[in-house]
Amino acid sequence: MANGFYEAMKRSGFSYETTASVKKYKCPYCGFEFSLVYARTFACQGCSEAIKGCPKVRCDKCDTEFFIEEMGHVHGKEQQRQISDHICNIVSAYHTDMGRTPNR
Amino acid sequence: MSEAMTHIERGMAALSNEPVDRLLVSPLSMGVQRRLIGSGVTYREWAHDPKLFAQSFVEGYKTYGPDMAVGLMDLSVMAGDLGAHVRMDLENTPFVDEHIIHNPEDYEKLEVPDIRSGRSAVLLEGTKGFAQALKDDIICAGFVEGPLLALSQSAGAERLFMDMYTNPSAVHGALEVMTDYDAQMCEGFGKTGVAGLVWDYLWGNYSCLGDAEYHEFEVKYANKLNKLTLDNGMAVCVHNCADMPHLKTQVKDYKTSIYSMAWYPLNPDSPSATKVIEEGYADKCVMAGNIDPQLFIRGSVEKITKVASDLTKEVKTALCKRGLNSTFCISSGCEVPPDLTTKLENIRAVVDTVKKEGNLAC
Repeated sequence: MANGFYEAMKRSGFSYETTASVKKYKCPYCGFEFSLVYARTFACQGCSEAIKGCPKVRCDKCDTEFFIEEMGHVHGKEQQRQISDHICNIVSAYHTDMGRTPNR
Repeated sequence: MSEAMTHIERGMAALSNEPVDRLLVSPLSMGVQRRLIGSGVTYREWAHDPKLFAQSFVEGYKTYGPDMAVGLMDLSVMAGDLGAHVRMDLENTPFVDEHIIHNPEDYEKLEVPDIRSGRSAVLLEGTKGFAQALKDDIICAGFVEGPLLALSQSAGAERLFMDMYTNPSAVHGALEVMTDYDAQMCEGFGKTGVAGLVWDYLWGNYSCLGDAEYHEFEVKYANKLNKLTLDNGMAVCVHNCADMPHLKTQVKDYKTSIYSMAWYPLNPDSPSATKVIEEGYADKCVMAGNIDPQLFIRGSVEKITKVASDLTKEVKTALCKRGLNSTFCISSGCEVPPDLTTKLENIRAVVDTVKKEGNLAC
């Protein structure tokens, strides 16, 4: 994951996890391009696993679910865990700040 | 090393695609140049003292003789002055570690701060300092975050992206405020004496935002700021270290004069210098890049000399093939790391290599 672009974004003040969360990925099943943030905002809305460390991502177009590790820019189970914990914390805080129960 | 043209003559010729004695060269060395001041200046001091900020560029010019000076401080200046907490280590680039947007209502609370105080003032005063000292010798440019970048620093990128999908009107309201802030900074830079203003439009990146999203959340604001830049007597310049930059928008539609970019060879969609020139982006714009900034820390002098030499040959070949004279500046893809372990001799190696090998004869 730590290639030149991630280093450049880190120097710009955006962590590896942030960059991986906003980078787009092409669904291998239907070709729809989306980021992990987009997936968690729409496809994962209402799912209680989205704030409990879910290691998966769901395509909002074809509804196929696959592991975060299968996204081209995330490599290995350890990075998958880092990213899933990061995005779960972001989503949980986002909903809490809005006054909503996070898994709704 | 005596040369046929002065830096200014060469720079002005390149901006008009006129023949030059050699390619422009200017690694993006900013904070690292504090180490040339000679009195053990820390990064934290450099980022808060306009005199030290200005002096570092003067020392950089005297030591390396680049063709340009770009006054980048860091990318948390605006967010910090808006109220975000910025972690200021002694010798590292500062970054935001506490955002100020926690719900949609917080976007409405954003107000343009007084640019005569905070680090905005340091940046403007410091830029004026080096511009006044160097503007007769080299092309001097100011540097400021674009509105979407500044907002993402203040809100956190993930939250901002989520709000772009769920609360776009709140985001647009905040972007109006950011644009007003940027407009004031632009007018401030116009009074410093710089010839150009570099906008960091970092989110113009196909790996994060598509055309529709980028057009909605940045282009209309950038158009306003680009026009204001010209109205204030400065050239529009852009820096974007994206891996898949929105080149058509940011080079051609913005009518940019100088475009600084990076190249990531592991990403097949990241455009190389050859591709950028072949696709016409250097026809009316000086493209700048794309040496890996990490080489300035990790590479030996021999290694970075070879990289600079290979890039110079690549650019000369591509420019000749396209029928261009001079519209490329050999530079780093992003800021030369300001770390204490950055090898200062590598900056000299890049500049000297281009001075020796950068003559263009098609």
